[in-house]
Amino acid sequence: MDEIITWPARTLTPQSSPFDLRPFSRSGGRTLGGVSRSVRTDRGYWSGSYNNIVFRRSDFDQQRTWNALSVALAGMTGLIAVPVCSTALWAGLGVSRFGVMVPHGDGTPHSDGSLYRQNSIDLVMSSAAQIGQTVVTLRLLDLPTPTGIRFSYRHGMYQTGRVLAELSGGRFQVEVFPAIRAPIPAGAPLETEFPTVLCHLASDGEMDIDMGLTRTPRPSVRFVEAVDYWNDLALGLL
Amino acid sequence: MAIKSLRIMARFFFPDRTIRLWDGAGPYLDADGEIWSGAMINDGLDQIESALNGEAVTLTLSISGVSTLAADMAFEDLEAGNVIGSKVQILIQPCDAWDQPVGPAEVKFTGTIDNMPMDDSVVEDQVVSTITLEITNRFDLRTLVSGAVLSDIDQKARSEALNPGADPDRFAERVNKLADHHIVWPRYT
Repeated sequence: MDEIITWPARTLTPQSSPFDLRPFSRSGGRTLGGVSRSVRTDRGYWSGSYNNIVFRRSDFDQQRTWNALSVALAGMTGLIAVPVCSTALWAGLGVSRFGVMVPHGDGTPHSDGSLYRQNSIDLVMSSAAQIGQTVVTLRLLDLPTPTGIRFSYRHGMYQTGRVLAELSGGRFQVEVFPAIRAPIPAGAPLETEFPTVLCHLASDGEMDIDMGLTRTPRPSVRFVEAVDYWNDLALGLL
Repeated sequence: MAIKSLRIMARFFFPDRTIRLWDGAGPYLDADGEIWSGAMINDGLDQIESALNGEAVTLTLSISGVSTLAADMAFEDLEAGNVIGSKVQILIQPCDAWDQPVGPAEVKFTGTIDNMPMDDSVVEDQVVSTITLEITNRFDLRTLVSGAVLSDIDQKARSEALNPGADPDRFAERVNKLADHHIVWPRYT
């Protein structure tokens, strides 16, 4: 498997990062009665962007990071895992502190005194999810409900819909978008605060940048989910 | 269970391998454990859809978004002369509200590959590479612009495919009798 780079969201922070569902429907057009009936032919894929990425005049690393990213991506073929900040989805459920810092098992920190960062939300795939599934069972501890949240597993990002059934032990049967891209084993911990979605650039010119004299541009980058990667992965071509 | 969505799928039986595609984004695992990979079928679907209740006669299917490996395999097979004559099926899979398959996929078209041109075209600032499959089946001769052939056997077989259970279409019964007739332009001099 190739090394997948992650967008350095701390260095190149967007003012907004909308990621939207893009389902596919077919329709025969509008009838004389004004009704259009359509049939869905695909659950869809993610399409999103990083808008107004903030460049600060004092930060000289940003431009070099940007240049390095554009070389590494090299147009639309490049794969990048884009983190989508989802802490706001949990704040409403009563989570106020994100990222618990924990030491090693014996209570000691790293040699420089830093700690491990751990998700403060305990969301686990309860029963194994297969490719193409759109209803999964999640286990969520200490929080009321996993409706309308986002999670990711190995750079495949999913968004939950309604809770279809509440089972014992904090397990919930929920619908997800999109269809599961790659198998998720039972008991796999899921990334909840900064889920990542594997993307391509929407066009070859997305990383164009005009630094200008003030060196404070606000570029935006559009992304499309890299579904071809999931296809190849499923076929075992990677 | 109510049918809420459809998957349009294509299956190519190449000599070395079977390629399975469906008209959507991600991979799809069917009940038999086969992976169908999402690809853009970008042309030719209208012919399938217009023939949903019957059977399309010929099909020109254009696909893109095929993985490079699959395309390479297809190209190698084409070079080796194995592609032409390979069987192609177009299937429709009804799905329920959760996009899970309901029952087996229905075969809507079966044919053999007649030609497989590959094409690069430039659309604005993008280069689009597509593989076009020209697929024929037994009713192909009916649609030739010059030299269409109608035969009684074909007509009856086709009416059986289009309208199963009904009496066979007798429209072309007398075609045989006309086969050896010379029709000449009258001379007015």
